[in-house]
Amino acid sequence: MEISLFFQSLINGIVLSMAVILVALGLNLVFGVMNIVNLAHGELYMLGAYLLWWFGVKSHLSYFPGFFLAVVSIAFLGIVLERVFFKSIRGQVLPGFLISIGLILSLQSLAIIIFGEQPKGVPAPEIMQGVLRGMGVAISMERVAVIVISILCLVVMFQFIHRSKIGKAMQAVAQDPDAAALQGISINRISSIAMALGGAMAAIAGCLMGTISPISSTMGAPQLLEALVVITLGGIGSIPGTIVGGLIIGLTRGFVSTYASNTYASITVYLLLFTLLIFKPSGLFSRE
Amino acid sequence: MKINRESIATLIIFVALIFAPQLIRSIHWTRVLIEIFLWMTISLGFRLILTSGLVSLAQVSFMGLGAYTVAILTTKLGANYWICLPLAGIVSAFFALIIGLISLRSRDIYFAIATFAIAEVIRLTWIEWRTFFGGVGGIASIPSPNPIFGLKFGSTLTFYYLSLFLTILTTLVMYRIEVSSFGRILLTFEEEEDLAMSVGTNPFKLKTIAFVIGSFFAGLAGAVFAPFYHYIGPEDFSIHQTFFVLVFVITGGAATIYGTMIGVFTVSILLKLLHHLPGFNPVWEPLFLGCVLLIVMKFVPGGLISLPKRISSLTKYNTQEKPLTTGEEKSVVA
Repeated sequence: MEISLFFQSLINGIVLSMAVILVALGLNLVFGVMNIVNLAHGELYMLGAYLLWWFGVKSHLSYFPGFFLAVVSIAFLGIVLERVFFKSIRGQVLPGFLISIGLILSLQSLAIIIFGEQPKGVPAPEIMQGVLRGMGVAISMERVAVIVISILCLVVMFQFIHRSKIGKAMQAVAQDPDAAALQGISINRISSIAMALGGAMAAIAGCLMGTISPISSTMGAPQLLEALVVITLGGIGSIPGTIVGGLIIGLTRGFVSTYASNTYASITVYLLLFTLLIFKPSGLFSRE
Repeated sequence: MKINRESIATLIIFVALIFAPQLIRSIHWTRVLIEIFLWMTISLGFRLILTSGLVSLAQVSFMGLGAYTVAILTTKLGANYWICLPLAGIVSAFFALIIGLISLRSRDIYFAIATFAIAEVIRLTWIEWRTFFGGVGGIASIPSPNPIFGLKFGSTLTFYYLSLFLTILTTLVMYRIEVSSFGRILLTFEEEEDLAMSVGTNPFKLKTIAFVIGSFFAGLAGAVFAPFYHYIGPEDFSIHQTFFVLVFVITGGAATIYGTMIGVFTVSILLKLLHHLPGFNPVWEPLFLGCVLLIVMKFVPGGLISLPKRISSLTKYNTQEKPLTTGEEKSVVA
């Protein structure tokens, strides 16, 4: 019994890690390219989950087409937000905060107006149902699916940023926008792609979490705050740092919420941030 | 004292505010004015922090710290309200000092993240620690302030003058800071922190002081809030309310003190009018504020206060391509 509880929390922790890593990577990407901390990133996560419900359940498309449409729509929304709001203030942190807070307020209330105040649920498709048993441990298939899909996304993302021309251009813009522009890289285009990718990853995380837990309009803010803790932990602008940071946060949350309570898990995670700021303010993995 | 247009206008507004409850003769609108005064106190503190280039997402939580301090001391220990009032400010200021010392040492982004996190930690602590903070239900039947100098407190009118006094006190302090060298140095941090450091200022220290002062007044506002409503709960002081404060300040114009006050006044009144629309739904409030913030940031980044200048420059030079902003309005804040 003791062992099985341990494994349950481990699996839970990994699932939570995956979601927060996907959200934090997008946040980090947008910050790297545009120097804007998009506090409304959590709302993209929330809207992604709602759109999965909208397409997959309400419009009676099945799960996977709904998933695909939700991710594509949020990526598109990301581009729109970049063009309309973030383009003119690129590189300025303070106006970025203010605009994204305006977006939080409006997107969250719009979600309530459009989708209603009742929390929504999305049933997992048949392939993802069932339970894996072994060594006295039972793991639901949907959790395994969440982990597999997330790892797949992370690998694709990693390859994209390090191998493709656009990914390399992104790194160049993150390092020095002026020098990148001199090389003929269109910063407008790269910023839009970064917002689209960030939005898509947030939407994927939202859809995956929406499959295993209820969808509500307030689900974005805690996820955003956790992602902010992760990028502080991993160092701003570092992909491996984000992944390790996400695992630390997710596992902490998984174990503390099993052995104490959900509220204690949140408090522990946030206090971790302060400990980190006291001892290593530039993040665990930075070379500063 | 030099007599000019501003001082006459200030005097007229002051006299009007003294007699406002007798003029409007409505308990409802007097209570609205009290709310506006409390928002103004917090907003002025928020603006002081914003002038140094920092966004504090915990200002309303600090107001909550003040409110909870008063609520617990008066209901559980029966302490005298007038001792709790300054104590509420000190508790908030103390928390701000610790958060500031931890998060202001490195990049400014961490300050926003840390204040966001502490706002959640404070709220979750109120909810989780039921025996002390009353959990989700909060603390009820907070007594009215004790009589002082033979004056009995408790009516809406007395709270009106108490909150008016608090706002005037805050405004005077903020004005003193604005004209002092401390205030002028703060203004330089958003754009030219390196330059400011090179002439021997210490941004870490000054930003922390600004944060502590702003939070002290937030705590005082909370101390008035608690006995005014007789009830407080964790949801009265969520991060959404801090977002509201931010909308007030940016809409009015963060560059000046009166811009901030005009912002609080205008947006609060508009919010109250929103309630009278047919089919009103509470969710319209954040939607309205979010849209206002986005529109202001997109089209009038200087806030309402910069509108007259913009319009006059538009009509004067509409044939020439002239920049609409003066040097003073380079950024959102300064």
